[in-house]
Amino acid sequence: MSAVLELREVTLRYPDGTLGCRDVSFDLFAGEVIGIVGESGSGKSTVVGCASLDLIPSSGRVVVAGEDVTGIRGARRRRLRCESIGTVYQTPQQGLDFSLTAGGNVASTMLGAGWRSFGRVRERALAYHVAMELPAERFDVPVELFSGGMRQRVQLAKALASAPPLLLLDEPTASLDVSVQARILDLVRRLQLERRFAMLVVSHDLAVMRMLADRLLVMYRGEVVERGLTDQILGDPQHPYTQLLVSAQLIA
Amino acid sequence: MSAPLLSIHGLCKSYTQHLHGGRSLAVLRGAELELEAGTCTVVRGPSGSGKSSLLRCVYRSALADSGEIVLRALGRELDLVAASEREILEVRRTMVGMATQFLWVVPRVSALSLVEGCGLERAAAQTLLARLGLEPELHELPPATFSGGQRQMLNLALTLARPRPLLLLDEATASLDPQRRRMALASLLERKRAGTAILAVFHDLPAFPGLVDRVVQVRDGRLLAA
Repeated sequence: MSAVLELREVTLRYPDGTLGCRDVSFDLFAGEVIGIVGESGSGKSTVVGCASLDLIPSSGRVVVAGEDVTGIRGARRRRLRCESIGTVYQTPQQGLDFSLTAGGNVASTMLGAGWRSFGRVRERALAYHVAMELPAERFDVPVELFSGGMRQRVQLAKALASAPPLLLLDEPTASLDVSVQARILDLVRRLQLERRFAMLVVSHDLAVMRMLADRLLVMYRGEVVERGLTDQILGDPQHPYTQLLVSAQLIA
Repeated sequence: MSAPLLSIHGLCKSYTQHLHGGRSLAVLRGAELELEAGTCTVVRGPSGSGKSSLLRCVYRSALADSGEIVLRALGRELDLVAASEREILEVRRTMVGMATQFLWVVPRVSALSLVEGCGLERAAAQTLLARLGLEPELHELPPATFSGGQRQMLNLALTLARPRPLLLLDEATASLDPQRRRMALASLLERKRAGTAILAVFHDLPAFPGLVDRVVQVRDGRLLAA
């Protein structure tokens, strides 16, 4: 079985010379959930950016469903992003076009993935809109009029509407209050169990990780300093930084 | 005679506390143990002697420093110390179950749904919860408001929902009342008779006829016949 996503020694240095991440390697298989934990600036979002094809590594390889996509550019890259990779960004501004309706945002992914029949796109987008527990009557409303939690639900609908084998979540609930956070996480967990897509999730909340992730990567200063099963990382952390991270959280 | 289900050889486990000057605590220093299918071994020893560490190394929720933990089940032979993380996840789905005294589950999901999530039909899940003594009116509730004992009943149900060749129990019945405890032990005995091997830590050695076959004592990081 080949992995849904492979990163091989991925290093990314930003144009100003800042190190984003260094030598990051992992395999993510169908039905599996990998979490990335680490403090702000440790490189978590850079890794997600490389996986989502938003960023191009300085060196190393990104392989999606067995195909090396590191060097793919232009229309093929955009198409691949719509077809194979759903991404939910930390802020809805990164993932949504606020001038478009909820439905329009979801449809844009599907059109990007090659769907052509307007009627079928609308029908499916609406089905995803409702599946994300959004009210159907808000389907044709611009997302700028949506609350934070609803915007993240639209991001989820957009990310999943073309049924990609891979979902990337970059701190999807960090900007939401806890009750909304809980409902979004319940939804994500249920969808992942039902649909068995591979999921890479970034969070600095270890309780979220315990709930969602099978395995964890611990990042520190751009590098993966420890990796392992979630309960092992949280219960028997080996690296000094992981021990600090685990001991710093009251609930883990 | 066939090879035992579980063979632990030369198991060493220490904890290095980097935040406290790199102090290292060695808890297991060359532990040896063999466990046959359909038998129950109880590990005894004072607090901090390494009982839980032993179980956690088998489950791989703790990392052994060195040694071997060979599991032979479902036609496979696997060293749990050296196995990959994905192999361990598969082992946990099919071969090894663990219940501790603490329940950790996804919040906001009812007890019944959690047990169903282990692959049981609704009626079978209800029967299992009832046999462990959880009142039917609690089945549809998430365990957030459950007492310590009720949480342990659910925890045992989750562990028993799937038949597995090896069960690890770390004080998994510690908060149960005497009647519930007997119900739990009866379910464990039934599993043992069906061929499951049990490696357990009990606060009080259960006086339950037929359950415990052997007691081993942790002393200075090794396992001795008690």
